[in-house]
Amino acid sequence: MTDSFRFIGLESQDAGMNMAIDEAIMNSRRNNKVKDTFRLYRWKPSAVSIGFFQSIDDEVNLQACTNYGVEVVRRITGGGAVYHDFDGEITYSLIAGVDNPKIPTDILKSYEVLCEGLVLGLKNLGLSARFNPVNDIIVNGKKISGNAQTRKNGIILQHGTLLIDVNVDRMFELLKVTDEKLRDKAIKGVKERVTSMNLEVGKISMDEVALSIRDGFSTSLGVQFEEGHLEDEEVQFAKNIREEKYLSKEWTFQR
Amino acid sequence: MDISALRAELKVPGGKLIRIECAVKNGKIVSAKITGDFFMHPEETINSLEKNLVGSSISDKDIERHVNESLKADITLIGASNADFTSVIIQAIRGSPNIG
Repeated sequence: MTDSFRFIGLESQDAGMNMAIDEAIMNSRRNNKVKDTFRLYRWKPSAVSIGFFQSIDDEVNLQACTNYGVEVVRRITGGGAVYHDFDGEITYSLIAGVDNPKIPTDILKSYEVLCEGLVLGLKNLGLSARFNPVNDIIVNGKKISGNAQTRKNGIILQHGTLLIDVNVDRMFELLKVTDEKLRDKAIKGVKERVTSMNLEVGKISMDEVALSIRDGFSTSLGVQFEEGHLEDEEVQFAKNIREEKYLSKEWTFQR
Repeated sequence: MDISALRAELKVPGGKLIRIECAVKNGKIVSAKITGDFFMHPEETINSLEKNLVGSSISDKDIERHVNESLKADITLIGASNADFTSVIIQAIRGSPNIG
């Protein structure tokens, strides 16, 4: 099942459903019901996702999230907290068997190989991007993408972000900083270290970026991407775990 | 002896953040919660690490042993090492001035 990938084009879901769909695809891929899959999505409404190991109380200003109508979800992947602005960010996910010969067994190496898809996608749009270990992609020395990976039951999930338009002030209203006394410094630091498509190439449509990312991944993996959709069974599975897992307090507030 | 609630954090140079919250009673760890933006594969290993720390004495050696027993060679850590986890736990127990 490595000759081609199923491609699911840019669509918008809420936070719980986005995370549930990624897991549903892992489940159906494990049962050999679908091909390796590449998916692009947005978060509607805007949301904060936190890494599997993060403390929600330490990372997220829940009151600010409520005030702005921003959802909060815990990921199954490690890494940091991310603000997924509906108008400012595209997320991808790639689900593949660990036996896919294109993807290194070594997790660190596999980040670099998989991130090459984004690097090429950005190159197609005229940007000189490069992988910045462990899990970032930078343009002109500034972060434009963060990525996170998990492997479960023989299946790899890597998902990551691409910033289209960045609102650092809003981000810092929603996320907490380690030391409140250093908040201004932290905001300034992130403004200096983070960039976006709009800052680098000017106004660009989400669809144009999405197509370029798709082509970048298809080229870097050397596989055809075939337009596809979620199977009914995957949608049902996702709806179930959205409710039972991703919207549950037990999952969200576990740390 | 009272329970002491302890907390420390470590930003691994070139790596990720680890935070520990633990409670100590009579020279033993009675609870431990480890959080941060590191990667640990498989992820569920964090639960066994926390569980294994409970009951450990607060000696550096015992803490190091429990960390190494939980984070064996087949566990992949990214952005932090066994030594980083050991170090931040010891830092919490010793009451580093950096604790928040």
